Amino acid sequence: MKRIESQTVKDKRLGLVLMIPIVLVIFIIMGIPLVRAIYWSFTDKVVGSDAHFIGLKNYMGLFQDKVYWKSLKNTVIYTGGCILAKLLLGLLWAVLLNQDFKGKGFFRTALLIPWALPGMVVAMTWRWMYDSTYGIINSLLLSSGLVEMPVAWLSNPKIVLYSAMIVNIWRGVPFFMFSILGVLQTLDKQVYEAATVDGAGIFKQFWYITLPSISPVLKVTTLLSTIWTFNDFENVWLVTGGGPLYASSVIATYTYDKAFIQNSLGQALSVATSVIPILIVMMLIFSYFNKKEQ
Amino acid sequence: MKRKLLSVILAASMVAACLAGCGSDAGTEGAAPAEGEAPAAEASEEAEASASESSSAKKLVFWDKAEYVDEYGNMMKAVVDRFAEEQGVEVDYVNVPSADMKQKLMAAIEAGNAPDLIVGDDTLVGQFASLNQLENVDDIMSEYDFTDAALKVGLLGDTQYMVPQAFTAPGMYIRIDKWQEKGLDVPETWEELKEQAAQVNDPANGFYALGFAMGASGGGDAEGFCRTIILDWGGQTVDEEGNVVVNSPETVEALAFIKSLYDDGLISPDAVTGDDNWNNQSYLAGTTGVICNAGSVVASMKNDDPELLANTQVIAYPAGPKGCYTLGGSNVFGIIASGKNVAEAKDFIRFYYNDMDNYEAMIEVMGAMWQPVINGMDESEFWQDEMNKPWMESSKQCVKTYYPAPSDDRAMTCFSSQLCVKAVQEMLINGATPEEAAEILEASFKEVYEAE
Amino acid sequence: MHSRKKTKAIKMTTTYVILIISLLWTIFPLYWMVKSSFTIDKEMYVARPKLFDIAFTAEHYVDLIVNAKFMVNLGNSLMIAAITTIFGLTVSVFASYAMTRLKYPGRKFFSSTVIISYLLPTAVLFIPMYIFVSKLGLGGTKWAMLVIYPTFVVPYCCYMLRSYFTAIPYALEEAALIDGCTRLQSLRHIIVPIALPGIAVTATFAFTMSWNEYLYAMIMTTSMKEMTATVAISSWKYGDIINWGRIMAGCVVASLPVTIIYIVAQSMLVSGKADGSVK
Repeated sequence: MKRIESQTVKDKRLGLVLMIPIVLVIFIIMGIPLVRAIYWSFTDKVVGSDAHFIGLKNYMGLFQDKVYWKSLKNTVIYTGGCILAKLLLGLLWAVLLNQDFKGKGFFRTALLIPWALPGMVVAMTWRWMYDSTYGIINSLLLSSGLVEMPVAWLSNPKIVLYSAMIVNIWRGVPFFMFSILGVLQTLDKQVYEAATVDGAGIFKQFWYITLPSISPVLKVTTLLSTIWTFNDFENVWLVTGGGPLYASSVIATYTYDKAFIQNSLGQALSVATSVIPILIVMMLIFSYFNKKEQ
Repeated sequence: MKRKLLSVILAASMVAACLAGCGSDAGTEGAAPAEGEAPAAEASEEAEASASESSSAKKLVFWDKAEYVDEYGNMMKAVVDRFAEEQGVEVDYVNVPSADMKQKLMAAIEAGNAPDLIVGDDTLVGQFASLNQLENVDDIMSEYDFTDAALKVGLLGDTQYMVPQAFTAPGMYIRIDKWQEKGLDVPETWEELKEQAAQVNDPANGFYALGFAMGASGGGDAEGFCRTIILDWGGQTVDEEGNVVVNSPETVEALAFIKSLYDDGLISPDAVTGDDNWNNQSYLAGTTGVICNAGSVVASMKNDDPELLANTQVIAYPAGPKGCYTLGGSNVFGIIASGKNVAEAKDFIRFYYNDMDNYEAMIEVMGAMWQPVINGMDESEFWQDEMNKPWMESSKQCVKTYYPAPSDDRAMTCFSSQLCVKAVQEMLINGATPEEAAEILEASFKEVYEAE
Repeated sequence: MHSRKKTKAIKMTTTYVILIISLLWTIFPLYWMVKSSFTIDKEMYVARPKLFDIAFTAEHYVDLIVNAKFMVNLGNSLMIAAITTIFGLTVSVFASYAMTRLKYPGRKFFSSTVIISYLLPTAVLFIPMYIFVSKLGLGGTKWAMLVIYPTFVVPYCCYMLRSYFTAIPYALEEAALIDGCTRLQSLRHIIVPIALPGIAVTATFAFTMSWNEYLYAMIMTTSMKEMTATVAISSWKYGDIINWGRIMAGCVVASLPVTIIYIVAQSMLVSGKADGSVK
């Protein structure tokens, strides 16, 4: 009895000691800038001058700011569209690659590569392929006769956001693929064989056997990817710059534009801070469902 | 077993990478603690860095705009090294990509570790005057024989805040072979240019007559073009007294003219996202017949495509119904007032201009892309050359990019925010009429000019 | 029996068709990046670039290494990513162990803070963060990254490692504790060896994250010799001229180390050990 008690005390002490680095990283390195950022979002801060507290003025300004709402809408489309596409494609690839066939290893490795590349490299490469003058995509489309006029991938306000999404999807599918494939491989093949004998078709098997077993991993993967996609700056910025005329602007690029092109740091931070509640709500919904399942 | 092996390989390669990285960059100091307690490693690096910070109080930090011509960077570095040696001042010379210059300056000023001396576009550097960040340079401007145009570059109100380094005058590049094919002479008015363009235009074969970029990303080509047309049509954005007068019938007509160039299909639809690189690129690829650009395209053609250069003629800007303006920018030195080394920064600029031969050589190494700001260089062999002379002429006739607005930070902010380009985009992308575009323009200018 | 064989053949054909299309979609941008990096300028800057014909040149690579001194930037990236990974992983292994196995006040609070901190958009933080590191005297240097990168690497590692550790049955450890092992000994001799594949996967991701980071590095560094590889590449846009040949060559070189690590770790990533289902 005594031994167990002393163990509890020791655990307590050890636990707290082990948390010290975390506290340092999150509460000091991240915390101090965060508090400053949130404070500035309530001020008229511009670079090089002192901040004056102006209450909710920046946030009220957002309500009338058409570009803000456009960016928010774009962010939702961008996040939603990319996640859906990455999820479906990743699932498809994983299911296909989980079969036994020749060249399996090669396909697995090759399809994984986009995820390894720096996002900045991917964005630059696609920007170069989309290029209106020297771009290979239009060159191929024109010479194959699929289009008569070059497609304005980055200039047509109706398609520019989708052009950026394609790049995000291209890089992100492998992440879903290998997360799902990892679980699929642990599944017992006999269950499927039994189901086949019982006359369950491919789709029934997928729905009743595969999906339930991969759902925990699907949720974690989707959550992580949603956070990354929602906060994605470099892809949109390097591929489209948020243009033309904010047609592909998302919250992250609009913050940057406000801060550096328009030189209003306070307003910029109110743009960025305004989406934190959305992210937290997303997180809460996720953990609610997660708990419910368990 | 296999997995274990893999993890060992992974871990080992990372440690090796770490050792290699530290070994080459920080000597042994960084490498040793990296393997042990990592927080200790960080602490020691912090201490090391702050130690070097405090010992370097007399270090002149100089951010120069990175140029495409590598030779420029080398020559400036040589000047910096000579200065450092002769004056006994340590100089940290940094080439900053121009696209990121503004962000980096802002972050550095905010954090209190701004550079002492910067070189950049006049409209970019000028904005920092409004943030009370630039040092008065009246003294330097009176010590050297600057041209009349150069004396106006950095004059904001009645104080000189920037020392010009070179003009970057624009010219109009025209594919003279295409024009001659149709038996056309070079245009003298914008209307004439438009008529001729319609004859030369051949989009089915990927050739657009005109290459006027209209993207709101970064540089000044597009904004300069819009403002040129507005001025040539008799409109003004802001008058000499600083009143916003942009919403006028003249401006509406000018905007209608710009719109018509795009509506008639004389310019590629891509132009609405075209940045300063787009027009260079499309001209060099031979997909466009006319562009307005600084001398950088000549520099590229000399290297990569002499044939295209032979088919190119650089001409003066055409005239509009009410005038003929050329808007030119410049590269300038600015001294950050809050810096610790204002005196040393000034000494450096003097040092730079004291060696006039070197200055001349540096201008020439940029091709005709740069034109001198000091009197008496016209007669040199370089500027007498047929290819280079028009650029020199152009630089002398140039008015400022925000003409005729009074020189102040508001004018520069408006220019670098590309308000005119955004208004034109409203027409091209969102289908606004020229009247609506003029109203949008007025509202956006007033937002800058009428803020307290 | 015959029809079953036929279904299988159809299934296999469909699989191959879809996978080959996927492969083309994946490979094409890679091909174009590599091809552009070996193409001479004169062929690259044409209105209708060709898919195959190529006048091979290594001049962009020579330019990259000689003129642009890209090796310095690669060295910076390697050093920063390696130190961040080792530091982040060490801290996270201990913290994750504490969060899954030990009972102490505030445990729940710490766990949720770690996750929430991972949500914060970089856009909110990067300017105040710049000021923070400048106050530490690291403004404008590569050392700034060593302070900043743990803020996203540590929460991510904790998040991953926690799921691996939770999956290890407590009974294994209990036996050791009763035998007189201390907590740290049990972590060292039981938990870490079992979770090693998971730890390696986490390390791979942490390394890639630091290696690939762009926004912080772009704001924090100004001088060429302090820049990481990704920032250096994007700096080769000079006003109105973009040096695509050098940029593409830089992209290829910057992608190689992480791609190799991924290919080596590939079997582990998809072996079923990456999701924490340790048995």
